[in-house]
Amino acid sequence: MLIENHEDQTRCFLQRMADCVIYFIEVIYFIYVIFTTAKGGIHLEINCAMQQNHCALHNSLNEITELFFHSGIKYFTFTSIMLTRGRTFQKHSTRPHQKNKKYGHMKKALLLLLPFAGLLWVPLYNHSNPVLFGFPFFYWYQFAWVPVTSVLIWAAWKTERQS
Amino acid sequence: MNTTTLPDNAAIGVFIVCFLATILLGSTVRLWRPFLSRRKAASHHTEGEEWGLGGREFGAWVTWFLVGGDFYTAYTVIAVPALVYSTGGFGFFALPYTIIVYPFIFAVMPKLWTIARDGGHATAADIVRARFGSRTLELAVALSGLIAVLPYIALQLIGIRTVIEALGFTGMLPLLIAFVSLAAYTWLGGLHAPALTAFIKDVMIYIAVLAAVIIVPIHLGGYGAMFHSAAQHLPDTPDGHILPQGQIMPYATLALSSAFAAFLYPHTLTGILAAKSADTIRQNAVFLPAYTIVLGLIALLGLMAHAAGIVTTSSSQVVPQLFLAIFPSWFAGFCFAAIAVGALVPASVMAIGAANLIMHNILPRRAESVTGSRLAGFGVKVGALGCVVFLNAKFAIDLQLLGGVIILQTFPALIVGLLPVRLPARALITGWVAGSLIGLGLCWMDGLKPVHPVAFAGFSASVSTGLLALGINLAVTFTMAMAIRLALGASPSTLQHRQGVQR
Repeated sequence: MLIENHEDQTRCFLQRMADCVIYFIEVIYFIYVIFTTAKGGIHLEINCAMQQNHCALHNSLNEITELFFHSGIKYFTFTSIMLTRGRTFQKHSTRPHQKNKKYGHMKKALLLLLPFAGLLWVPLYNHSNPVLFGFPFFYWYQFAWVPVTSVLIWAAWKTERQS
Repeated sequence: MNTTTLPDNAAIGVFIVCFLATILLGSTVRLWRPFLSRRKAASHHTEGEEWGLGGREFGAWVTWFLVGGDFYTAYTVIAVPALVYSTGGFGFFALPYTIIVYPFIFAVMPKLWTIARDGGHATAADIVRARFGSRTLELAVALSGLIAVLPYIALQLIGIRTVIEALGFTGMLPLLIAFVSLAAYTWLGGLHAPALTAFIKDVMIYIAVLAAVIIVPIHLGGYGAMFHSAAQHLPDTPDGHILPQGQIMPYATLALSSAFAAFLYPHTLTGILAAKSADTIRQNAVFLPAYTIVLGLIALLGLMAHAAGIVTTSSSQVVPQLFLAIFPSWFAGFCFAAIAVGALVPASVMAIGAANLIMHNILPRRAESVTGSRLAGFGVKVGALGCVVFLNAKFAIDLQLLGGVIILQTFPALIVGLLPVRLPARALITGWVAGSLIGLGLCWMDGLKPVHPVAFAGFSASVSTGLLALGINLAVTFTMAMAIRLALGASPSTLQHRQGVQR
């Protein structure tokens, strides 16, 4: 009985962790999509879809829902992420070759501006749920941006060296 | 009611040993540095460049420790938790600020470094003079830097004084100790002293902070319980939000303006310009955010103090009191030494940066003597000491806020000047005067608060005063630039500039 309970707790905990990670990826990707939309004036319909998903997932995190329902939404979200991602890259790869350098600059600027968007838009993270390791969302979201920023700068550096 | 804990002799002993050892190591850096590097010291550097910029040869590691050491000052260790202690989540704006500063560094500083290396410049004002050919603009930038950094050094002295007072000494003695140790350390070691002892500082701070973030939650029953009990001591916020509605704009704009201002200060710029190559700076932009994690943990100390039941009226005593309450006294002494050394390193870099400004830019004739630089650095420290003695600590903090507004006004000349837009020096000077005057005026009218209420088109919020003044500065600068271009018409000189830009 006790062991079962313990197992249950572990599963609950793992699920919660996964939720938090996915939620974070979701938020970052959401910002990314808005950026590309604002830049190119394309993908508007995807943006709207993302926003709806985002809200749906957020709400579902606040209440305890069934595992299947949960993973259904996650699957849906991930599919949409993969789909839009594929389309974005396809779009870029069909660009003429001479625009590559300019594109490199744009990509670098985009990578460097993402932390600004993610951190200066305070209402995005000004709430206490979901909690991770006892940290309210407000706190762990900002902590999580530190390694993400490092990786983004590194990616920008790589882009710069390529072009 | 004050819950003041007094330490015993063990704490004082550990503090003295650690602090003295660091000062000795830093002051004698000339004697033992040759053993570390087998390379002969590059001979083409003048002694002045060696003292003031470390010979421009710091690699990735030394730069990491040096910039991290003087950007995250002891004042940070004391003031950020103090702000979190008194305002809750709002004090956390230090975290977004120290994150978004790195993309900014990555985009801007390698270019600035290249210009400085090619022209042999040591300060921001040098760069501006070379680019715009205006002595007035050079003086404006140099004076802004000097005025902004003086109260900052004063705050480091206050940081050292705070921990010595927490050890139970009172009166003028703590301040005197702080001043003499700082003076000896900088005079003898130059920039090599903080660069190499920054390593000691970081290791000590890391140990202290990691111990705190592990031990305190164990005492209090986990982070969840810690956040929960801290929330009971702080003002309530509606429905699951952390910041109340009115603090959102100040939070974002303060983070942004601090991030823009952070690397315009003479001390941080000195650390950047002393790097070996532009790639060293890029590499550091990737790895320096590691310090931000530590800063975030330090900020949490403010919440932990609430949870641990620390009640104090002077918020700068929050961290020392927390350390005394939760650690055995010898370890509290070690943590205090970490904070004191953490003040020594940045204060020394600040004094060197300010001395560079005085020697290169403010004095009329370009003087190149180390003794002169040392004297200038000493003078700066005496000025800082004066700030502490004659103005009270509260005023030093306000002055530092004004310093942030002032230093931000050099942004157009230094950073916008990097863009391929030719701005005339006269336009930049006008913008600088307008921005500085309006910024200081707004600060003064608001009773020395960092934010100013703005109402525009049915939308009202408080915005960082520095950012507001910078906006006015930029607007004036660009308007003047347009006006000057129109007034001059298509004179040969402007045409030449335009062609140069297009290429």
